[in-house]
Amino acid sequence: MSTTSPPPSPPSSHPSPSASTSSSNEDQLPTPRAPTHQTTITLTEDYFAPPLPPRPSLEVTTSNAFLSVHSATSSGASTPGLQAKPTTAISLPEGVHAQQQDAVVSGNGSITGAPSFSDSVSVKSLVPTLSAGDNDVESMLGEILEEEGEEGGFLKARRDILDSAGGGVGGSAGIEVEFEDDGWDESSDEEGLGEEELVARWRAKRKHFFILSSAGKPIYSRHGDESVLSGYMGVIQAIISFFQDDNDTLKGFSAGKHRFAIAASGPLYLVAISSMGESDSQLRAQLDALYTQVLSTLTLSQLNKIFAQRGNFDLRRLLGGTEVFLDGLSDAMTLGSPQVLLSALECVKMRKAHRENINSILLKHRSPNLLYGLVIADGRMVSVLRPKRHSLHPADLQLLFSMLFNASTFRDGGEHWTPICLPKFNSKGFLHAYIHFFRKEVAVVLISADKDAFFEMREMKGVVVEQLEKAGSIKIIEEAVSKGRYTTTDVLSSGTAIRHFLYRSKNNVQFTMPSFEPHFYTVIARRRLMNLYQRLHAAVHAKNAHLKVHHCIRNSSVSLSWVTPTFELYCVAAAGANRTALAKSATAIAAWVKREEERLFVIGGVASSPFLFYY
Amino acid sequence: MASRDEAPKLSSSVKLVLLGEAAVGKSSLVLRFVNDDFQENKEPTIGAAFLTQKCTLPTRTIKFEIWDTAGQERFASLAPMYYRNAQTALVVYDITKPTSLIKAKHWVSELQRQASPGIVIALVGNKLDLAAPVLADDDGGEEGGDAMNGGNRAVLTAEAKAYADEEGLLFYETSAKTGENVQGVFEAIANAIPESTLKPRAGAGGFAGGSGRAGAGSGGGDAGAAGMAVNLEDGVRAKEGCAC
Ligand SMILES: Nc1nc2c(ncn2[C@@H]2O[C@H](COP(=O)(O)OP(=O)(O)OP(=O)(O)O)[C@@H](O)[C@H]2O)c(=O)[nH]1
Ligand SMILES: [Mg+2]
Repeated sequence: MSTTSPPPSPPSSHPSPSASTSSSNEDQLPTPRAPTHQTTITLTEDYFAPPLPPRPSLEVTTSNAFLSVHSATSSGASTPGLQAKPTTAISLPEGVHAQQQDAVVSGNGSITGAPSFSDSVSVKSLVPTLSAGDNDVESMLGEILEEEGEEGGFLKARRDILDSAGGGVGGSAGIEVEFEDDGWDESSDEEGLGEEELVARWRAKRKHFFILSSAGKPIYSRHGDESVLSGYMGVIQAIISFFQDDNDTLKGFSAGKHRFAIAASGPLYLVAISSMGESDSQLRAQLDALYTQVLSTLTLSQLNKIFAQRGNFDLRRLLGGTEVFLDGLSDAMTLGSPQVLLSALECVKMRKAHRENINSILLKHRSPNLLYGLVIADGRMVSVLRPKRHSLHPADLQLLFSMLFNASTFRDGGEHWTPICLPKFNSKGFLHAYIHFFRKEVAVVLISADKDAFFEMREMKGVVVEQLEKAGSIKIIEEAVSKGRYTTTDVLSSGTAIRHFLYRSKNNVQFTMPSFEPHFYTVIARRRLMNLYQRLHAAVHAKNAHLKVHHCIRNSSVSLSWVTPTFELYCVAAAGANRTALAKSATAIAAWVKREEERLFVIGGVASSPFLFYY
Repeated sequence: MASRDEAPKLSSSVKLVLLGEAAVGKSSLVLRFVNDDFQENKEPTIGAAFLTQKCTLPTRTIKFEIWDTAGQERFASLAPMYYRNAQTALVVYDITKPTSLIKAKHWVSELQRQASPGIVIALVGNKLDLAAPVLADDDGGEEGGDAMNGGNRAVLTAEAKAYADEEGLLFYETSAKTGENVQGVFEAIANAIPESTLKPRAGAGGFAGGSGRAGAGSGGGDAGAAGMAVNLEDGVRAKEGCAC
């Protein structure tokens, strides 16, 4: 509405934490008319508060302490991610602060404080393979260094994440190319490269995921082949067990700009190494997604049984063929996945009546052995059918989606019948999924507990598709898909400074967002946007952070996070956007979503059993 | 050709299952047979895919209901579900990979022990295009290792053929990539199905048989799965009966 009005006062570009409590209304949608935006706490801060000296962190890389046992701050580098400086500690209290101080956080505290850790040299000596010449480290860190440079006011040219209004994508195109090849995508073929080169390339990745057995056997790695990896796996296993010997659990530590997060899940270790600035809990959520993927293939009971029988079993034998799913998931999480970040799924937007039509067709023709029935299009939900007694956990659904869309094997137009474990439903056994992409982007998935139910499910699908066709629903779905997501200007006035937003409905465990176009249509721009979201998300979810509204100004963007008991909203606006206008836009978005709720989400539940339409 | 659909001709559905080690080209054979297509980088099958294809012969029309199973080790315990009541099986190996023939032999003996007695089994050596261009005598006469010069063939035609004859299997070498012999295999099978087992064309009969069929003899299955195969049959008897 009135979002385009000129800013009454220029946005402050310096950290000026201001806390104002107005605890009323936090639950309600402030109306656009509200004289001021209603916030419990308003925090204006620049993440990287004091401008950094030019590339300060190079000092770290040249010092030999690759595995830094000092606090990140003392070495003069601010760790990537959410780093509140002491001045902002009021609103980003203890939890965040502590995390910043301890480079190595173990169950019982920091590595520096751990009494048993008398021989820091020996730990370092385990790591020299990880450490490297300056070049290597710089290539590992390049991305973040540059990004921090940007935060600190350097490399102003790199505005590709958010070109200020009208500036257009054209201007940044040249810059993007420069980063195209440092990236996460695996286009370059590595055949015929020498080992050194392979190792260098491997190191240059922004993010690594490993899975290994507790005996240290490699199970999965996103990047790099066996020859490069086996040594590292050993090191990781040694570090983890070093702590375990002391009955301590190593959860994460920092090495240079890289954050290591470790999860011991069942008989497996999962490790994430990231230079992208995620919080530990975010990295842990990513590891959990990978673990869930492994479980879906094997079930927890099988996994435990296998390793109980043979501790050094080579699990790759049994995971053969699922690398595509793990790779797809890893890449999605490197690019930045709203699904994983928000633990929620997205729906295809359509009229309530249209969705109800589809729901009732599914319901009417459901066959006796059906457990869950889904209509899915373009990686999003259209309709979900579940029995009253069984909820459907978003993590399980996400797993299913990642299987369907991260590999082409199910999208060949054929019919598939495959065992799948949905760990949140039951980690001990398999369900069986009938999967048919009866249109290029549209699938029916029917899940049964009966392994012999294929033909029953197939028959149901036949009837359902026929009825959907008759009702015109398929056409509606396909149109909705081809139209793509709505744009910010569909939601707000056409001159809006808002470039993108993520809205998560807590009750529905679903999220909605506008199209990434036109502002974030390149992979790089999108990754940066997601990186920003991830930082915003970390800020409002930090332990002890009681933020309700979080306002963040950077050179390239202005953003706002808003958390209420019913939703989370993250909006990103062009640099220089006015704060009041931003708050008004956020309010308008929330009101719009409320109005469109039944089109945006699959609704069907009471708060305690969030998912979905049920029978 | 036979413009009007078969009046006197025998027409029937036949359940066919493909078995064999991972990546030997089972899905590729089916893709060639059903869509006359080939993909250089076909992704591994997960679970099983179900396809149908008609095969019209002078004397009969057969509608194949094809189960293309996953060759990955962990799916081995599911196989009985697919070959149970199958009238015919294609056991596929890769002529460039000797271990895949060993695996194929395991499948053959499992089928002989546990599948329907009358099952028609064809042994298929795939990826014929990767064999050395054998110039002269193409009917079996491999003079020692000579014929292998320059090619990737690692399983001699004669060896596999001898084994097939011994076990009473149909035998073909194929290339899903070039299409060579693919149609031939399916036609040969269609011809080989004994008339007595051809049911008049009914709908697909579930995993055939009633519903008491469940477990029976499946679990242990073939030891070829190396004892560590995942038991995918640990179904979820969904808590307190899910299908409410
Ligand atoms: N050169 C050549 N390659 C083939 C042929 N058939 C299959 N391939 C290739 O071999 C690989 C595996 O083929 P698939 O058809 O997926 O093998 P599969 O037996 O179905 O494998 P699973 O589903 O894992 O059991 C693919 O990359 C195919 O392109 C062939 O006749 N010649
Ligand atoms: Mg296959």
